[in-house]
This record gives sequence, C-alpha cells and structure tokens, in this order.
Amino acid sequence: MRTDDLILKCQEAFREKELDLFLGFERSSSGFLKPAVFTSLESLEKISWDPSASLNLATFIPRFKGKKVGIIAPGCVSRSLVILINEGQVSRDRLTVVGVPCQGLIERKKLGDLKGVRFLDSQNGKFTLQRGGQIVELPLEDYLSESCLDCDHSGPVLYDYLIEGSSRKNPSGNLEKRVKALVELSPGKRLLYFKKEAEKCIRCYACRQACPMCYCESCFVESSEPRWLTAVPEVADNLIWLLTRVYHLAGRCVQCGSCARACPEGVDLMSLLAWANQSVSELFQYQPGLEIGEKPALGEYRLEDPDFFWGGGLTEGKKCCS
Amino acid sequence: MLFLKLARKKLLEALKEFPEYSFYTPKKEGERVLLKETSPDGLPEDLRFERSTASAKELLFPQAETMFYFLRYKPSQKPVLDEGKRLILGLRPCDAHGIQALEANFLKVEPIDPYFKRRRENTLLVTVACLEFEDNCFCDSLGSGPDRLNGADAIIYDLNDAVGVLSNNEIISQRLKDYAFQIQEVRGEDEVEKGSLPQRTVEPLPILSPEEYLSLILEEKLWDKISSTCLGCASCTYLCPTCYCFDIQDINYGPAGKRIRTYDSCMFNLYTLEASGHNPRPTLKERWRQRFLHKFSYIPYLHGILGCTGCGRCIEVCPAGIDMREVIKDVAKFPR
Repeated sequence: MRTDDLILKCQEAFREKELDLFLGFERSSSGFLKPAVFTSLESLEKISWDPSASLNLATFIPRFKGKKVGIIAPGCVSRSLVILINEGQVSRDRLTVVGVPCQGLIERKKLGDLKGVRFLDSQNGKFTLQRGGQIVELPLEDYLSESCLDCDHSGPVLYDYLIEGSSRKNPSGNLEKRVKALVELSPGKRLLYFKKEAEKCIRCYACRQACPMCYCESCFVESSEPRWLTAVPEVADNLIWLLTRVYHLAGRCVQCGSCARACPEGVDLMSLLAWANQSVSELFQYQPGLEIGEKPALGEYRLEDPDFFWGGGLTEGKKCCS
Repeated sequence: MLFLKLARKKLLEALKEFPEYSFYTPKKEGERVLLKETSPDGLPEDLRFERSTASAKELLFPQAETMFYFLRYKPSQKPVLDEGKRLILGLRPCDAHGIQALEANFLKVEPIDPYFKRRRENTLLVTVACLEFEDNCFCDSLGSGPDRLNGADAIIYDLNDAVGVLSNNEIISQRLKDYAFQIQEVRGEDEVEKGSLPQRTVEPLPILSPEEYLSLILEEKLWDKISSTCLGCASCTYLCPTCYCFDIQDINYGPAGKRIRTYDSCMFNLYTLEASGHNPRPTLKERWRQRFLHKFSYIPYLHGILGCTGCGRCIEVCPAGIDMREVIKDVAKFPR
C-alpha cells in the first residue's frame, strides 16, 4: 500500500461524498501515527496508515452524530462500524469507509526502552526506529499486539473505497490457547490470576474511552444511585469494573485490542474479552460485526429458543439456582 | 542552604543516619517503574534511577485515601493522618517541581490540607540532577530542570568522583555533615558546582504569560482543534505530577462508614457536573481548556509557578498520541 494512493483515495471520497470530516491518522512528533480529524481536502494530504497506529478510530464515530463522516478502516475497524450501524449508533448513509489493508499494529509496551524513540517507517514485515543517530530495524511480528497476532479478519469487511494491498494472514490462535489454559485452572488459581491483573488497574478508563463499543453516554461506574462501586482503585472494585465491562462486550467485541494498547498499566484485558467472545461464539455460533442488519447475539430472544436455563431449567417448573 | 561534597561511598553510608525513615526509590517492575519501599543497602552507587511511571505525587497525595471514619449518631471527624516517615531518593528535579505546585495549592492557601501537610512534613525529598534528557522531557523549556532544586529538600549533583548535595533541609544538612569533606554555606543553586549537565539541541518551547494564555479562553476553534482526538480518559491527569483535583465519597458499612477522597480528572464527564444536571464544561473542548489553562495560566497567576513540570508522562501515556509540546506550540501560534 502506498501513502500516495491512500491520500488520493481519501480525497476522492471526501469530494465525491461531500463529507464534513474524515477520521484517519497523521504522523506525530514521535513518528508514531496519532488519530486526526481532517476537515478539508488539503489537510488530507497528511493522512497516513501503517503499523504504528494504535487506536480503533470507530471509537470517535458517536461523537459526530448527524455529520457525514469518512473513515479509514482495516478489518477490525470495519467490523466495529458494522456493529455501530446494527446498534443504531450511526446510519450507513452518513458513513463513508475507505478500507485499508492491515499488517497488524505495534504494541508500544513491547518496545520497552525503545518506547520513546522515533518511528520512521514500516515495510516488508519490518519497521525502523531512530534512536539518536542510530537506526534500528526490527521484525514486525515480534512487536505486534496480541490481538493483531490473533486476528482472523485483517482485511475490511465493509467499505465504499478500497486500497489494495496484502493483509496479515495466519492468526496465531494464541489467545484461544491462553483462554483454554485459564479455563483449566482451578477457580482459586484463576481468581488469583485476575486479581493480580486487577491490581494494576488505576481506573483511568482509557480502555473504555478507546473502545468503539463503549459508547454509553453514562457509564455504570459513574452512577451514584445505585453506586455499583467506589472510585478507590482496589482489587475488588477494579474487578467489578473490568468484569462488568467484559460482560457488556460479550458478543460485541471484535478484539481489535484498542483497549489493551491504550491501557497505561498493561492489564491483560484480551484474555477476558476473548473468553467472553468465545463463550458467545460457542453458545450462539455468532461472530460480531460481520453482517449489516444482523441482531446482536445477546440483543434478541426467540420464543422457540431450544436452550434451557442453567440450574435445572425454568421450563421444567424447577427453581433456578437451587 | 548548605552545599556538601561527599565521596560516593560516604553518601550511601550516610543513609544509615536516617533510621526512622523508610526509603523509597524508583524501581523497575515489569514494564513499569514504581516508587517502592526499599532497603538503603541495595542502592546503585551511581545513583541513576529511572523516571517513575507515576509521579511522586502518589506518595504525598495518593489516588485514594481515607479522610475520617464515622459512626451513625456519633460523628467522629478526626482526620486520619499518615504518620509514616519517608525518605524518597532518586526523584527528578521535575518531580520536585510537581511537589512544589501541590504545596502551592494544599499548603499556601486556606484551607490548609491536613493530609498533605502531615505527609509533606514527614517526607524528605531527595532528587538527583539529570545527566541526560529523555525523548519526551521538556523541563528545560519551563525552567523546572534538569538541575533545579525546586521543591526538593536536597538535590544531588554528579561531580564524577564525588557527589555534591545541595540541602535545603536542616535534618539532611545536620546528618550529612560528618560525612562530607567540604561544606559550604550558599544562598542558592546558582552558587554551587553542578558537574556536567545535559545539553539541549532542540529549540525551547514558546511559553506565554498567564495573562496571554487567559486571553485565549474564548477561542473555541483552538480548544476544539486541540481536543478533537482526545479520548477523555484520565491517564494523563492521574500520572501528572501537578494535577490535584479530587472527589469525595462516603462508603457506608451499615451503621458505620468512612469518607474517602480519590483523584478526579477534568477529562471525565462527571467533572464539574452539577446536581441540577448542568455542566459548565459539557464537552472535551471545555475540559481541555480547563486542563491547559489551569496549568499554564491559573496556577502561574495564583502561585507564581508553572503547573506543568515538563516530565513528559502525559505524552508517553496518551493513547491518542496527544503531545503536550505540540499543544503548547499550537496555542502560542494562535493569533491573539
């Protein structure tokens, strides 16, 4: 994929569809891409896309209600857009999607001491950083975020314009293995693992803000009546926060990893999200964000539902949770 | 103020003169550098510490603390004060600037905050002058580093074979005296030998006066542009060394309870939301304006000290890649 093609295509979309604004990335002072809102044809000359991006741009969509918005979208972002359309958060005709190929995104936490250095370029499975006068070339595969390594929909599923190029193949299946390992742990050990992760959380809510599916105007953590949890970042309350968010995302999460990359403390959010998603996938044979018009797995019910309720089944006249 | 020169080994030896203090230094743990209690024995002789992930404010003004306990019908409002004595070693001059800004808010104006006051009285802050700039620091543009004493009780300079300690604290001066080979009474940090300091090659950032910044308060376009890609999370304000906004909640356990305070953040929806439902800062535009002007206009105007230390934590942690240096430049460029 060439940046020139991207600029031309986005400008074409902006002109043809008479857009109000365009969501994309531009290079920051550190060379890593940062999200940007482009409002003119000329400003779009700065638009760029490579593995140094981090956020899922669909998280900005609910902010621009009533506007005609363009957006560049790799696989995960396009799937998030499908869900936002299906959940009535944006209408399809106000949205113009420029699909882009995706080789995966860099997890900056994996860069360790190289975190603060300048990002130069990424090509052919490698990327280059500059530290002082020194240029370091690193293999992309080693620094991709976990969600990207595991991604099975790297190319866009929804687009009006498409930039040709190859997307990452061969999902590692690592998340599935990690979830399996967690499921096999004894409940006590599993709790210990999640407690250790929850200890790190500082409740800055960067995960929520970076997530396109967390669009509630008022989040349950902000409710004072009833107050579900305190603002004290202690394990018990952190767990309530992390787990409730995961429940809210079960069958709605596209595992883009935007939250995990945004987390300043490196909390293992992916295993929890993948677990919830896998459960929905197994129970309902449902994968979110693949088809417009589809009802969310946990957003509909059928009278002829063949499934029984856990704990004996209400249909047999027994009490549940006996 | 006293300037003491010590042999490196002597400085580490002298730490045993502070038996009633627990030691805290920045310590790497996984991806993060935490301010952790440590033994004075295992300290690195070169006194080089990494910058802590969270700022030093967490030891003086923790993210969550109990203010007091209460019983129904028997309100006891005696503040719960932290009596622990701490010596924090290895902070950076910018951290000390942050503490100074907190002191301005908590100690210099009424009402004085008893929680912060007690912790500050019980804490010795010892910084180490920086030998190099990191990619995200910009203290040199703000005058808060890399060699300034700021709000620290003492700062250590690297003089190659020895160290120089500039002490602004009676306890530190008294207890180090016997270990020093040279002692000098000085009036300020400009009179002392500092060894080699890092040299900056990039252009300093344009910093305006509090009044000039204030004149931009109604420029909606400016704040709109700056906040357009902000996510509205609190990672910047939680890690910021000078952000001190807090929220208060009561936690009830049946007939008893406690009042706690926790960090608040101007980036949150709930910030300044009034009981009527009205919020004077309804969108990120107003909230960003508050964050920026608080640091660069209100605090300097009220206390004569910048509310930004140039530590670069907000730049490093921002999930949307917003760079405070770029913001400072954008604001200065905006026609006034």
